[in-house]
Amino acid sequence: MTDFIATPPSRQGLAGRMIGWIFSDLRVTICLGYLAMLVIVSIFAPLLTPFSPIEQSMDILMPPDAAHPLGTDDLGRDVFSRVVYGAPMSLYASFLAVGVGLVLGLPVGVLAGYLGGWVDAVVSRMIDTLLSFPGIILAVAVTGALGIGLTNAMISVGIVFSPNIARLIRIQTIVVKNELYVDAARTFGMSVPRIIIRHILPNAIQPIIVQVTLMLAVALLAEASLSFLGLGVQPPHPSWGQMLARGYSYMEIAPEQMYVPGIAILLTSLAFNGLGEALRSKLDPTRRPRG
Amino acid sequence: MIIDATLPPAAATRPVVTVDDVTVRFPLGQKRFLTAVDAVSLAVTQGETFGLIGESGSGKSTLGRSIVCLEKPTTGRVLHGEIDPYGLKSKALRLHRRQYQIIFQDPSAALDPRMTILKSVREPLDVLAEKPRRERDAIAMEMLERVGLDGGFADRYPHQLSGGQKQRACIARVLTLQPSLIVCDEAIAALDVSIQADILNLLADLQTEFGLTYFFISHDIGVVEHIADTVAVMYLGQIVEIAPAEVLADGYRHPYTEALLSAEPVALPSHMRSDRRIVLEGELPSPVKPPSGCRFRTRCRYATERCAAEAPPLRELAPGHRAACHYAETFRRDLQPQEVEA
Repeated sequence: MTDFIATPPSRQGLAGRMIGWIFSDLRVTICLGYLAMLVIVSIFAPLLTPFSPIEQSMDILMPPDAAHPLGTDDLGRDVFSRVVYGAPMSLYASFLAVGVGLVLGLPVGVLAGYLGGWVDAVVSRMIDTLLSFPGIILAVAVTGALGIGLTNAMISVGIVFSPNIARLIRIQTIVVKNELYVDAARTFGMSVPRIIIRHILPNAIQPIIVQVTLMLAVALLAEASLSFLGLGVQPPHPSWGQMLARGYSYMEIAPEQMYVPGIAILLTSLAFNGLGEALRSKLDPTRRPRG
Repeated sequence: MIIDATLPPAAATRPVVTVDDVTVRFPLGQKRFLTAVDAVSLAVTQGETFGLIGESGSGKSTLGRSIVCLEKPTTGRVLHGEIDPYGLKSKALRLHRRQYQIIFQDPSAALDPRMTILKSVREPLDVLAEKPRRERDAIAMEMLERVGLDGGFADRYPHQLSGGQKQRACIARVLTLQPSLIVCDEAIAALDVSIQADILNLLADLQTEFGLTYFFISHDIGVVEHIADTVAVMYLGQIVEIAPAEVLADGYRHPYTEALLSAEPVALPSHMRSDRRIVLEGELPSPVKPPSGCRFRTRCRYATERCAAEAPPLRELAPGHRAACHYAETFRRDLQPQEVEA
């Protein structure tokens, strides 16, 4: 037997390890820093903005200057103030949609995958049915049924997300449930819910984490689409998607109108993706250095 | 239901496990079935090592899995002592099955990659959590130590261990339950030859120390002969010969056993080896459509028309020695009186 000197891993708390991880990886530092900045900006929006986001003026489609650091939009509203006030809307929208998708999709997918048989057959056909709708049409229909507004719009986006999540976790569950360590747990007399929580979910969740970060980005854009259609954030209140949609109308005379919300959406999506990717490699113990 | 009469007369000690006419079939669709285990009966007595050998695909792992309640028999019964575990309610089964453990061939797959070795080894105790965490940790550490893994391994992850070390951790894990029976499903086949010997010795030591009973599945007849008290030879889902280990080596009565024994590597230069190796022609026939009559006839060099027409029963040739061959008494020239030879 090969013996090597055992180096016991440092016994610091979870919080300590998390902080260590955040600062050891530049990508994580930047992504989390950016998201933290968004949260802070969202909270202190009234203190940071020179104008109300809904205050109109006669200076329409102005380029940036001293008074309006990012210019004004087609109704003479300060773009900087609108972007800052749009941040909490966009964050809320993304997390709500993905949260709803997870709450609906995860349990259904895990159960279908673990139980198999007719449960799986029925659930899979239902998933296929939902997936056969174009996402935005389904979201519009559900929003129509639930009523207009950001929260309802995002719940419907979550409902659109849920079959994707269910399908992904179902396949993962089927793979993991046939692993020998699950058989071993069964011989120890472990109950099915416990096997799912202790073995199946931790080993099946990885692609979901990546999918979730992608979905956060998609939800940002879905919020934009639904707001564009007038189903999401109601004017005059700002959201990035709505600003982008509005800027799109003036693309030919003032293309810079799209830059600010577009870049905000882009950076936020990138931050979500970067964080997801880093989280995935962090959660995978086989990526850790060998002993 | 009375236990199959072909079982050996009530052994000195009670059987820990009785397999009674067990058949396991897997549906393949279109009304076709794969019969992995076909009407197998055997009994494992307390404290012995029961060896089961056969090629890949002969159904030995499926049989082992059905003994530890991972594969429900299609027909027939598995008895743990007097209890039919498949007849228990799910909660009672979960408590009961803890006494019947299995060590798998691939120790890497048998340990959750996301759990430290200590957590994996402690897992069987965590299921009931009768004892405080500290005590469970202590038992797990003690068992790790007992199988030759020092405390430094406790906080490691499976991928940081070698195959042999992982298998030791798996052994420590089942030992925490002090089971009545441990099925070793090709438990050493995936390891280096030098490590195989270590693990075999460890298993033997633990048997003496804890009075364990093993159901030892292997494709290596040399290993089984060495470790087992009783050996059963399995071919295409059926037991073709069963005998005490010391009898089987020279007193085998089935052509398949003969072929297996001759395939065992001998540490001698080729010109000094006495008997020619018997090479079995062809592949294992499909268990979906097994040959008529004797299942081994397609590869048996002694096969006659009778073998194709009539399936040989597993006959008792001597106390504790049974074989399923029409010519069990006569096929071996070396055991015949001289006049037959002439």
